[in-house]
Amino acid sequence: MKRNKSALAGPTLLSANLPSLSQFGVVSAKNPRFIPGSSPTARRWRDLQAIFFCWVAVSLISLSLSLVLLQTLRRLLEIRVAGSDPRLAAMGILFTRMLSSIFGNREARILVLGLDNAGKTTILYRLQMGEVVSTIPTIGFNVETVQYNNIKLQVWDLGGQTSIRPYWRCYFPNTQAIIYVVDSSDTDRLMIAKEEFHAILEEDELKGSVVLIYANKQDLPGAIDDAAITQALELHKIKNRQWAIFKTSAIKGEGLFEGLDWLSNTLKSGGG
Amino acid sequence: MFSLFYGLWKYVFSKIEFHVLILGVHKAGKTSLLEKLKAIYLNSEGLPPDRIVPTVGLNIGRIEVSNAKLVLWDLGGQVGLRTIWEKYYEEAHAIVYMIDASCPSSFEDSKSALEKVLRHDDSRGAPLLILANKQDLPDAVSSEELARYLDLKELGERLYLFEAVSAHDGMGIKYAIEWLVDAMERSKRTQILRTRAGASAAGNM
Repeated sequence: MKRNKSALAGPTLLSANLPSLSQFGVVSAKNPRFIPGSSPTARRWRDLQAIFFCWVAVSLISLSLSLVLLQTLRRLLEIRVAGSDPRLAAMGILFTRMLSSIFGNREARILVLGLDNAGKTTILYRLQMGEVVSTIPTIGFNVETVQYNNIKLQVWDLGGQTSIRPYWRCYFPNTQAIIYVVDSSDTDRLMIAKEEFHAILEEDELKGSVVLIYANKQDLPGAIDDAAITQALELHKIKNRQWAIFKTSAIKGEGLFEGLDWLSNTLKSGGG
Repeated sequence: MFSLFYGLWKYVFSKIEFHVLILGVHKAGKTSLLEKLKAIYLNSEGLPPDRIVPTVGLNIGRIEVSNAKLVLWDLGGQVGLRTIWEKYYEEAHAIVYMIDASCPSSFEDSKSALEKVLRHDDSRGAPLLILANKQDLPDAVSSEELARYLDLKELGERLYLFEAVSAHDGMGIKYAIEWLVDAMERSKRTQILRTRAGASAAGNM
């Protein structure tokens, strides 16, 4: 009988009450001398029954209450981080994110990715300082903070050479957005750019991040436009996250802030 | 134990998910509609109209209407970007087509773009909601006039509705969306998509 009770107690959320219950544990049914009619034992049995039913009722009520609570919580979370998997396991992260989005400084971590010589470093410094700096191929990363539209963007520019692309993934956790830079004049390597791009999108750690594509180097002759880049990168395969593509020229400073406008708006309205 | 409860909880609270495509030519108000819907159904603020930049890509909104979940795909309407519309037809349960009713010079373009949408094989049978937007402006034409102008011949058995709305002040939106949910629940296409999704899920296992 005692065992039966603990099995019942298992699923409920009040299982912490179990020890206090087990002090009534010497249940009369187990007692060989138990006779239903005899008055002291019967009274004790009735009391036990009453306590048991009360306890069951209380645990049922609290169970349903907690379900309702969970649902409201889920609603709240979905508003804040629309689009992420509402699995309970991820609740901790979601909750922190929700709190930080309500209170205080909005910060976002952004990765700038793309093949080598796409113009990632030039874009980063154009955004940060507003001027064109002469760059050398990045081995490793550059990181700068850009304040824009009340959002603090922590922008990571990672080196794009073939040999160091595998290390991109080390930077994936906690990333809210990806800026993918494509050299629009380098039509020969669009195929590789596409493959790298879709490999990034499949990463679990980047599931909730939004994607901004810069069709860069529009100032060069022979650069193809945003629609052609969209086709070449097969952007239409992205169905579960927001994306946008902008024609840019890092040298002339065109298009970069339009893209950042979109990015900050999207991040503010919840991303995903 | 956790998974049992998670499963139960999901069973009790999960809803059917519909994919809705929002199309229309440039400046018709697609993103404004999306933001308005978010404001109405999520009680969140949504982006203020002056902050909305032309979409070049995809905006996503997730809302819940009565007992259905809608995933809204808002695609850019500039000429160069319309080529990607058709890539989304296959998975869309319904299409919302927006027209700027206050701008008659855009009607011709709207009409040809819409006819192209309807002719496409992948969009066959998808319920169509045509919204005559910007009714808050004084020179906006009514939905009947617009229907007469568009004079669509390829509708066939498709469920459709012309509705006058304003994404700016929210007029007509609730009714239109309720119609859309109802139409999707009734449409054969929903069932076809569901069986296809089921088959592909089984294939993946």
